[in-house]
Amino acid sequence: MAIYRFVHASDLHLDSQFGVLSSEFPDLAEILRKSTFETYDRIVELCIEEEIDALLIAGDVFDSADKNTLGAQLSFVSGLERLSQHGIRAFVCHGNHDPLDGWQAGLDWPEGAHQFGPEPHAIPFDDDDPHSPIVTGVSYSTQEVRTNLVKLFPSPIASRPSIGLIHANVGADTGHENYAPCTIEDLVASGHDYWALGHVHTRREIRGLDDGAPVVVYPGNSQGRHRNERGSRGVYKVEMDEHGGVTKLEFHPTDGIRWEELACSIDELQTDQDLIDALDEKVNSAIDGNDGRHLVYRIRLTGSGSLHDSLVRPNYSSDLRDRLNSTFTGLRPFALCEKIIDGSSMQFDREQLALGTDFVADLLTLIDQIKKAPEQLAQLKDSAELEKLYEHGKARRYIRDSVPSESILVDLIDEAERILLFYLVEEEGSQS
Amino acid sequence: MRIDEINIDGFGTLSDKTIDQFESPLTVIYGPNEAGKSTILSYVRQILFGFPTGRTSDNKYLIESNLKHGGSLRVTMDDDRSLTIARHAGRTAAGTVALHDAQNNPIDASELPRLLGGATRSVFESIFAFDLDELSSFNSANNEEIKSLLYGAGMSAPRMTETLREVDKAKNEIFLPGGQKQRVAQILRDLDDTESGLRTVQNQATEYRALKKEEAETKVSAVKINDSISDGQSNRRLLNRRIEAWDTWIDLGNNRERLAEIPIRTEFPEDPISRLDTLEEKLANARSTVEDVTDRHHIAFDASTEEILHEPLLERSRAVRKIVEQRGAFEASIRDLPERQAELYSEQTRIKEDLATLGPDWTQQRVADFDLTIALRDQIEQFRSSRAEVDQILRARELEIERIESEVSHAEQRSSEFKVESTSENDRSLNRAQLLIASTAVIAGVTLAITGLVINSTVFFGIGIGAGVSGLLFAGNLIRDRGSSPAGISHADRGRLLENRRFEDRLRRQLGSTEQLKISDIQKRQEECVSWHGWLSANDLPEALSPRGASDFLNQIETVKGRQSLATERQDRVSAIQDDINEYRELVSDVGELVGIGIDDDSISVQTASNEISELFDSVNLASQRRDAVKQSMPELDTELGADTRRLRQIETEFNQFLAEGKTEDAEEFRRLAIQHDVHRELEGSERDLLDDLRHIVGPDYDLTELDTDLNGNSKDLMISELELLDSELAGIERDRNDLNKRLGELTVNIDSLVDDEQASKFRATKASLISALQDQAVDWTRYSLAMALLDVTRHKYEKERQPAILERASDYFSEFTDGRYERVFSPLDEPEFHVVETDPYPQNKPASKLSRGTLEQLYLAMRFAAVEEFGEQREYLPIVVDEVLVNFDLNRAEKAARSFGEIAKNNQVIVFTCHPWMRDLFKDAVPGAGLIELDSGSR
Repeated sequence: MAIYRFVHASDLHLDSQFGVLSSEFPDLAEILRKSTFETYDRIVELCIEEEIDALLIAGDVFDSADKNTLGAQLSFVSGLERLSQHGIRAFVCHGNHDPLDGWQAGLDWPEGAHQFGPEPHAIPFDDDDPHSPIVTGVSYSTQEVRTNLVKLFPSPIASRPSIGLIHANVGADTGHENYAPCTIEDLVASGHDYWALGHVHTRREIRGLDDGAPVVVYPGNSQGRHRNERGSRGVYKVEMDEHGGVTKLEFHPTDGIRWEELACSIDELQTDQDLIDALDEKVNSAIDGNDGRHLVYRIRLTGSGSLHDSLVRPNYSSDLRDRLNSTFTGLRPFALCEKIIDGSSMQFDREQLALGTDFVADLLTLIDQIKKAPEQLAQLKDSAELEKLYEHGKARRYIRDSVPSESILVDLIDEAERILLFYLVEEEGSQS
Repeated sequence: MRIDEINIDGFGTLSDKTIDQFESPLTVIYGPNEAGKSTILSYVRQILFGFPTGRTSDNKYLIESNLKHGGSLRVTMDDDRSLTIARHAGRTAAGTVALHDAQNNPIDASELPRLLGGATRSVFESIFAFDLDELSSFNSANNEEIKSLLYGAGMSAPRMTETLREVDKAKNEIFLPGGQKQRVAQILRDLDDTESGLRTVQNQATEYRALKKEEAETKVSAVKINDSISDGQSNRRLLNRRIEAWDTWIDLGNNRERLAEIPIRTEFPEDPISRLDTLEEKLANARSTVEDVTDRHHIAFDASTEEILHEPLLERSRAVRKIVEQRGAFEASIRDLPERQAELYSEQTRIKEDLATLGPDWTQQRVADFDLTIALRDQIEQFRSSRAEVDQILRARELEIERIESEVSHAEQRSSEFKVESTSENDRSLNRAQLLIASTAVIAGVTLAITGLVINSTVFFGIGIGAGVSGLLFAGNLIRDRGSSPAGISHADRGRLLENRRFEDRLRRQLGSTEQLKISDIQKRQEECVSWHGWLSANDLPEALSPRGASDFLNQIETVKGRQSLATERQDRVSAIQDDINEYRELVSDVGELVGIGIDDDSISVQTASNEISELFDSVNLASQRRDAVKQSMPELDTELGADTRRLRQIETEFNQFLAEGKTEDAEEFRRLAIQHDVHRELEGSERDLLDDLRHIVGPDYDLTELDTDLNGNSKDLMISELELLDSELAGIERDRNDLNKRLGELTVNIDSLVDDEQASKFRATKASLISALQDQAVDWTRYSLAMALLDVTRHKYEKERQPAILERASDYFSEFTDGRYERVFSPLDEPEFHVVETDPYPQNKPASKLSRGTLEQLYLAMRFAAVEEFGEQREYLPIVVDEVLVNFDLNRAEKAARSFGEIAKNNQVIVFTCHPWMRDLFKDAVPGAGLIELDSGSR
């Protein structure tokens, strides 16, 4: 029985940029800047090495609908040409980041590379092979596609293996823009054997090998680009028989730079040097476990202890970060500390403090209440007048979307509490 | 805390001053103006909270004398501990604090803030220690802090103020609406720049699209123009080919005409002339070879049967070889013989001479027979030595006789001399002098000998002994001479004469016996002679020979014997040479006879014959060898001749067959036919070549039939002018194309430069980084904002809950002061100002700012009292020090206030400064047991 092999990728976001201290480390900035291209090259290389039949890309090849650069487009087409030279087909649909009405450099795509248009249509892997899978796909004609495109997909030919290729938000995922919304039921009902999805950046097998047909997969983006895209990122290698049965579904990491958050407890640490040593050890072991990739990380300090007082001091964390970076950014692969987050607490007994009758006790009691009651949380948020910054005339366009959610607010309140306690209770703290 | 004693070392106008009568809860310090009341108030504030830093008005108390600035307060704490708080000018502007307990043990100075209940300077100065001006400015300065304190939040959070300040500062460093220096503002500015850069770069896209469009259009134009150039060039190529082909095409026509004229047999050998030439040459060669071999065969046969003269000589080859080999020896013998014969002859002559010397009867045979034995020579030697002995004895005897005769003659002469007087005095004195010399020599010798002994010198000893002995001998001789000297006629002379005569006689006798002995010796010699002659005769030797002569004679005989032996040897040699010569001669003669060569007696003819024989033998031998070689070669020649003859026949056959191929038997005819055939072939080749050339010239895609059509009726000149026209057309189109290509190149370069530009990407990287930084700052700012909000909310809540209690106290005091005209103080949440409720003439709310100065001061005093009580309950009862605070009160309200001071003084020590006697008395009246301290203007 013939087996067809393809790689399913999505959300390449070529030439998208990393939100990380690039100005401090020009060398690293260059590596970061090129990382999406390198990742794309790795995908192409994987296809060639594994001699697969086709590469499927489920949208968001480029990062920006109106600003995707010529360089990005040239690099993309260059990769397609390499695939073409090796007789590997490419099926590409576009998503909200690179819709068809966005600027395109008008480059010629090589033979064997197919770009889906605004109407779903079907293309076989191999015109001459009556058993080869047929890919049905569609591209966004414009960024804001709010209709269910899956409903427009033609029914597959029953005798041929079939793959659906689309950039869509399945099951109204609240974490993502609700473009081309559809439900899992829609996908199951469509009759396709494999749904090659894009849009959601976190890898997810909505229906895996054991769930029966169809297999529905978000491979996630192939390269994490910021602190919220931590962990390994990559593509899926898929094998399908001539009846459309998926016989193999395997994730393959392709990221060249990995984002991580490293936790470090200060419980057992006494001196600044202890902390520095502990951090060095953490970072070294993270580098060792990163399989030769570059690493961008945050450190979250936890636990409680005498070092807490140092950590609350202005610039202490940033000095620690600078020290880590001076040690590890010169290495290749490098390890870049983006930030050190102090989640540690004072040594004194918070519960005991809260039992008192003084102001601090009132403060802690209030904080506890606020954390439990959303309306009080909202009130606090109002009185903090966060809109002054988040709705600031110039700043809002950049941070409007990052107004802290409830859960983040709760975290921030904890951090604020640590700051307040540091100042309000310092003397008793230092006397204890 | 209570103040028990104020000790001023130096402070403003005051120095070395102690005030210590503070036993009462309330103490009035009364003094005229300039008595130092304000100074003491400041002193208390500064000792507790430090000297002011910077150039504030409080600095006026710095003293200029050499006294130490500062002093101390002795206090009792709420827990009855007694302490001394001292502060003096020190390293810091605030001065150096020293704490000591009652036993004067030092206490850590950092304890002071705690002892003061965490009160700050401003809190103390606003609430506990103030003058009239400060009383009324209560609502403006330090409002927030005091309010915070008043409302209680600050009471239970001593670091509230600092916390508020630090958190607000941290927050505002990140972001402040309208601010320009804050981190967010900086990032936003950078973002602006980046966006602007990005926009500029984005314009590339538009440019790129325009360029791409033009590029596409230009490419289309280029394709079209290329097509027309291609067509033109194609036509040009065709025309060019026709022109190039013209001459060849004409040649082809001519060639075809000539070809038609020549008849041709279809079959004719390939390459006929050269093959014919080759065959003819082979034939001639074969014939020549056969002739040559035949000649050689004849010659060889003749040679193999040829007779050789003197061939028999070959059979004597050994003898000939001997003649040749021994010819050298023969010639040597001939040369040597005369010399050898001469040597023999001279030897024989010498022998004859030697024989003559020996004697006439000495022949060679006698010499040869003479036996020369060693015994013979020994016998001669015996004779010789015995004769010599006898002769020697005889000679000695004769010498003896001669001596004796001489002595006899001397003696006779002396005897004759004695007869003459001959002695003289001179002789004697001479003898005495000689004796002196001799004795001197003896003495010197002995002395010398002794000296030699002493100094251990054998030389001296020897010389000494020698000299001594000589001296003695000399002396002895002198003495003897004197003793023996003849005495002349004297008696002594006579004795000596007698003696001499006796000596003469003795000599004559000795002479006689000696002569007797001589005779005997002569006889003995004669006997010897007889014996010798007998021996000579016995040995057949001449008689006249002495023993020595006999010995020489024997040597002569030996010499002759040696010569005889040599002569014999030489005779043998000569004979041998003659034998060799004869033998060789016979050999030559023998062989020579065989070939007719004779020889004479002389040696020359022998040598000549020998040479002739040798040469003749060599020539005969050579001829024989040659003939043998020819004989051996004969069979080979036979074979060669056969083979060559066969080969000749073959070639002849081949030759005739070849001619037959050309249908002729005659070689000349064959040649004529071949030439004709070749010409035809050549013309055919030319046609092929010309066709090839034409195809090459016009190219494979140009059909030659078509070419014929194109060229028939055409002319070269016509075509050349057509070509020139086409060229000028093409040049025009080429120029157009170059322009297009140039433009395309520019477009490519421009597009490439856009392609290479990564600026947009870099801008976007920067932008992403800035946004990330902005988000981080936003989170930090949010954290601080939340902290501030939490503080606010908590404080609000705290204050809201605590406010009634503290304001109730204030309300009570205020009502007390105003006799109930005002009954309540409150602080609306949305207003910064206190409000009061006035009951008379009708109840109404009034903001504090609407009150009269006196009433406002009463309100603020009431507020202070409430705060003082609250502070004391929460922390520490600090002393209250006030300076003329009641002067704006009417008497009634002043009395009420003084009584309230008295109430307060139950917990907090109260010290009241005044310069007014009525005020002093007011307090003394209102507060039973109030203490009084009077200052005078000279108390400083």
